[in-house]
Amino acid sequence: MDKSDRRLIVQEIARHQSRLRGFVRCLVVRSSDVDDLLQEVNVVLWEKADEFQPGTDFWAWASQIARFKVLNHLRKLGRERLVFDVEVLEQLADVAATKLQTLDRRREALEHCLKELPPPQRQLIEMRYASGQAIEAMAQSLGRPAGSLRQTLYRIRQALLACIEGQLALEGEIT
Amino acid sequence: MSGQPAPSERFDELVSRLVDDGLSPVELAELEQFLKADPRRRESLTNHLLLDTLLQEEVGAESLTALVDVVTETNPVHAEVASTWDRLPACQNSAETTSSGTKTSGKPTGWKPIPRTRRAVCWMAGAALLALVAFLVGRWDNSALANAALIVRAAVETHADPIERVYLVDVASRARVAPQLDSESPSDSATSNSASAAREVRVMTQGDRFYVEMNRGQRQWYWGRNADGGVWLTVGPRRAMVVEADELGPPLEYIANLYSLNLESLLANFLKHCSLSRANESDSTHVITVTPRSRWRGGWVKSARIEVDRETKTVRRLTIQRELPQQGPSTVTFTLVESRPADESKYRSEGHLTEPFRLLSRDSQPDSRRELLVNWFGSYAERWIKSPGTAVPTNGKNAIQN
Repeated sequence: MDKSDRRLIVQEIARHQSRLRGFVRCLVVRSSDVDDLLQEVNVVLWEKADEFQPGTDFWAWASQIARFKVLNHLRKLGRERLVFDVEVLEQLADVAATKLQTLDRRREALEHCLKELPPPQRQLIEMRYASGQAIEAMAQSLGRPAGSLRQTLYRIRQALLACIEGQLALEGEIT
Repeated sequence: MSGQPAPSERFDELVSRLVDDGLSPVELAELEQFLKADPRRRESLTNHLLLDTLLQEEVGAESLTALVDVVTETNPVHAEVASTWDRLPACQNSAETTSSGTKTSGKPTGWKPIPRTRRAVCWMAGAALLALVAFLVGRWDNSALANAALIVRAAVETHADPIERVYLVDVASRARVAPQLDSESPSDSATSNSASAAREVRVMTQGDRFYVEMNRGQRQWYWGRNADGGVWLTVGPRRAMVVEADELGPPLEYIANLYSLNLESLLANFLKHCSLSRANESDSTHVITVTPRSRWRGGWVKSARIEVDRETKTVRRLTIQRELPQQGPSTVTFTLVESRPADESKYRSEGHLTEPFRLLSRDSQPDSRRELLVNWFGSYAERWIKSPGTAVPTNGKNAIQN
C-alpha cells in the first residue's frame, strides 16, 4: 500500500470515528470503557490497513474488524469485568451494525428534536451531557432523588427516540 | 398487588441505570434475560445506547479534536522535518553545533559531529557567500526597497476596508509543546493521524480582527482571541468557553499563537521593524520578502513572504516563519480563498451559537471547562488550561505581538 492509500485509510478511520464509537458503546456495559476499546479498534484498523481494498466499502470492512476486535476483547475479559455474555453480544452487534448505517440521519434528526424539547427538559439534558455530571451529583444540586431524576432523563430520551423515528419516517426512511 | 415492577418497567429501569450509572452483576444478568427473550428489547437497548453516544457528541462535548489535530499534526511533520534534516548537507547541520562541538537541543537523532577541516571549509564558503550577498545588496536600487514598503502600506489600507477576507491556513511546525503526541508508536500514529487527516483551517479577518474556523468532516469549530489575549472557542452549537490569557496552557497557547492573524498590526510591524524587499514577482502579484531587524523580537518572526495582488492590493498569500520560545520553529501559510462582506457577530463566540447557549468562563463554571477537555481528550488536555494556582495575570503578554 502506497503513501496516498495509507493517507486515505487514515481519513476514512477519522470519518468513521462516530460510528465506531457507537458500535463499541452498544457492546460495553460501562461507558468508561468505550474510549479505551475504541483506541484499540483504531490501532487494529491501522495495522490492517494493507488489507483494505481502496474503492470498496470502508464501513463494511471496518465494522467487521471492529466487531471481531471488540467481541474478542470482551470474551477475554470474562464475567469478572461486567460484560454481556457472548450470545447477547453477538445479537447486539448485529442490531448495532444495522442501526449505525443510518447514524448520520439520526444525528440530523436529533438536532431537530433537541430544538423541540421543552426548555426544562433541554436543561436537564444539557446538565447531564454538557458538564458530564454523574446522576448523583446532578440529583444533589437539583435537590431531587437520584431515582426520580434517572427516570425523568429516561423519559426524555424516550421522547427524543420517538421524535427521531418520526423524523426518519418523514424522510421515508423507517428503520 | 405485589411490589414488583412490571417487566417493561423493570427493563426500562435497567436500561436507564446502564446508560446513566452502571449495573451490578445481578442487574446485568437480569438485563441479559430480557435481551435474550425479546429482540425488541435488544433494539430498544441499542437505540438508547446510540442516542447516548449522539448526545455525548452533539450536546455534551462536541469533540475539540480539531484543536488536538493542530498539535498532533506535528507528529508527521516532525518526521518529515527530521527526514529533511538528514538530507541536508553537512554544512547546514553544522550551523547548530556549539563552539564546544556539543549538539544543541532538538537535533534529530543520528546527528554526527563534522570533522574540523570540513567545518572550516564550510565556514569559508559561508563567509564568501555573505560577502557576495553584501555586495549585491549594496548595489540594490533603493527605490525598490521603498516600493516594497509602499506596496505593504497599500495592502494595510486595503485590508482596512469593510470586507472580510478568508484565508486557508497551512502549517508546518516542529512543536515541542506536546511531546507525548510525538511518539512514533503505531497506536499513537494511528490515532493522531486519524484525528488530523480531514482537518481544514480557515482564518476570517477584517482590519485587525480575526476568527478561526476549523473543519473536520462535517463538523465545525470556531475560535478567536479577545483583545486581552484570551481565547474563546465554541464547543458544539450551544456552548462556548473562554480561557483567559493567564490561564492558557502551553498547547492551547501554541495553537492560538500559531493561527492568530491580526493582519493590520502584523503588516504595520513589518513596516516598522523589518527590512522589506521585492523579489520574484509575477504579472499578477508583488512579492515582498520580510527580514526582521535584530532588535525586533515581538513577533518571533524569522522571516516572511507577502504576495500582494497588483490590481487590488490585497494580500493573496502570506507565509510566516516563526521561532516561538519553547515551542520550536513553525511555518504558517495563509492563502486568500474568498472576499466577502463581514459579519460582525462572527468575531465573538456568541455569533456562532444557537439559542439557548451557555458560555463557560473563569467566572462561571470554571472547572467545567477543564472537565470537558479532559473528558474528551484524556488527562493531557488538562494542560490546556492552567491550574488555578499557577495562573498568573499576563495581560496577554504571552500572545504574539503582531
